[in-house]
Parts: sequence; structure tokens; C-alpha cells
Amino acid sequence: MPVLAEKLNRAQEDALQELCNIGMGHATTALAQLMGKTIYFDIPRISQVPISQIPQIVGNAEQTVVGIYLRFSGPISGNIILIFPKKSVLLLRQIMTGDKSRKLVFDEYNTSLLKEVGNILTGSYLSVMENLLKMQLVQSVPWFAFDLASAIIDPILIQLGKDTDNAVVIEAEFFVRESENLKGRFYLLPDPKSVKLMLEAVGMGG
Amino acid sequence: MKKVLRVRISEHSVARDSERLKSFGLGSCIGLVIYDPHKKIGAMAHILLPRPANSHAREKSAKYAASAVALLIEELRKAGCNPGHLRAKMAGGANMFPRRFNPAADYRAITSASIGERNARAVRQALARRKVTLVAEEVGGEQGRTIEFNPQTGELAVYKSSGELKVL
Repeated sequence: MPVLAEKLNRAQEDALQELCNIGMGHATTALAQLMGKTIYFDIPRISQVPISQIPQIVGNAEQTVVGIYLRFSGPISGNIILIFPKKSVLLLRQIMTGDKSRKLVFDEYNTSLLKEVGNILTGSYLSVMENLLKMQLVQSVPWFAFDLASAIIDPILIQLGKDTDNAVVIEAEFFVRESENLKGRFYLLPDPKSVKLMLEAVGMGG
Repeated sequence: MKKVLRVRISEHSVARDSERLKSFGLGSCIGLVIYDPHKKIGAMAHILLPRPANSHAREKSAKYAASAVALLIEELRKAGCNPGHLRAKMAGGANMFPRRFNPAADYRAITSASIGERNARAVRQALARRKVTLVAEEVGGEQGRTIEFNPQTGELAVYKSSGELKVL
């Protein structure tokens, strides 16, 4: 039987939002150091929705984007995916390597570069979770995809869909101060059972 | 005026006359169409998984391959179609994290990476069990797809994320 997630109350939503806010702060600081740029991020949004609605949250069904996917596990488990529009990928590469070409070829060098960005953002984010939730987490290697955002997210929805029809989506957009065209979106989709554990760990369980 | 009915994950819908059925951004999911070419009525399901984790679950939903096939046949029968006339087409089931981008990755670490092929296989099996002929398919590969079905012509338009169009 699918696990029907209980609706989060306002205080629980706030607690998750704060947790992710701190996580995003650390993650974007790490990226800022890597890039030598100032990075801003929007306050994370928490949505509790049927899985069928997640593709619309993740974005435009017509634009191809880069997706970097990592799974994490431990006392809590879940999925993190970073989405970068094509234009941002070009700018990111330009800043980090000096390559000014307008052509996007996803060879091993470029995919590794983007995976490493995913690794750093996710690693810093999860280290905050580890400290605040007092648990140890292990992250997978980053996986690279280039396609429609709604298609890239499919394997994650399949993972979540095994146990539930609803999921919690935590999303935050970040962008470089000097160049608002360089932006990305960060999504955290905890496994269904982990939402409760996360809330319990911050004293906001049922 | 053509009316487009959007079919989201785990959902299904029936169309006739000038109506069209559309699913956006299929990755590893399968878009399955079963239709009656005589009555010009079609039904689409957006399938997420081969089967429920708990095999005893008797869920009547478009979420799983087997129950989606049963559900579409039932809907078409209710709409006046003859089960003996039904035909099927499907698209989707791609691997969204292809080997060429992830050469060193361990595919066993993320079971859902290979789920596209398993979804397609489960649909073929379910169709065979219900004796519905699968007349065309565009599955697998490494690209997302958006599909649109026209019950008047029985054509399934498959738009790949690269922009390429293939009509089944």
C-alpha cells in the first residue's frame, strides 16, 4: 500500500524551510568560493504534492537543461537534483575555465566539471544536514543528464513512486550577483519515510 | 477546434472526435495508447512503474503497467469499443542518465536508471496477456519524448527532446 504522507503543518513547513535555508547558505558559499563570485539564493519553497504534479514544478517541458542527480542515504535518504539552463552552463564554464565558446559539447571534461559543481553543492548541503540532524549521510556519485527537466526527473519520481503517491519537494533558486543569467535550481526530494525522521530530528515530529 | 487532454504521471484519459491526448516530457515513463481504429476512440496512460512493490496490491491505476492496460481496455469497452478491435502504441522508457555521460557510474546503485526498459517490457507482457496487438513502439534510447495521439487517424506523434519528430 502506498504510504500516504500526512499533511505537514505550518510549523513543520517552517522547520523544513529553515533547515534547507541553512543548507542552501552553506552550499552556495562553497560554490561562491569555487567560482570567485557572489551567489544569492531565494528562500526555499516547500511543496507537498502528488507525484504527478512534480514535473510542472521542475519546469518548462520544452527546454533542454542539464541535470545533476545525487542520491543520499543514511538514517534519512533522498534525492537531490540540480538543474542548469543551457545559458547558465555556458557562463559557468566560462567563469571556471575561461572558455568563451558558445558551443555546448558534453564531452567528459564538461560533464565532469558540472558533476563536480553538483558534488560540491550537495556535499556542503548535506554536511549541514548532518550537523543539524546529528546523523551521518553518504552521498552517491553525481549522475549527469541533458534533456527536458520533466524527463530528467522521471527516474527520481519512479524511485519515490514505489512507496508513495505524494512527495515533499524542497526547491531553491540560486544565481550569481554579477550575472543573473547564471542561475540554477536546487531540488531536494526526501524519500517518503525520511520527511518524518527529519522533522523528528529537529523536534517537530507529529 | 481540437481539444488537447493532458495526461500526467499515473493518470489516464479517453479521447474521441477532435480531441487529442498528450503527455509531456516522458523520460523513463511509458506513454501507452490503446485505441479502436473503427470507432476512432483512444485512451492514453502515463505509466510510472512496471508493477506495485507489494504484488498483492490490486490497485486500479494508470501508475503501473499491468493495471494501466486493464484500465484502458475497461474505459474503451465502456465507451462502446469492441475489445477485439483494440490496437496499442507506446513511447518512452528512455535511460535519462546515459552511459556516455556517466561512464564510471555504477548502474546498480540507482535501480531506477534502468527502469525504462523494464517498464516497456512490463507493458508488452500486459498487452500480450490481454491479446491487444502492439502495432508500433518508440521506446528506449537516451532522450525524453513528448507524445500526442490523434484518435481520428490513430497516429501517435513522438517529439524527441532533440526536436526530431517521428509519427507512429
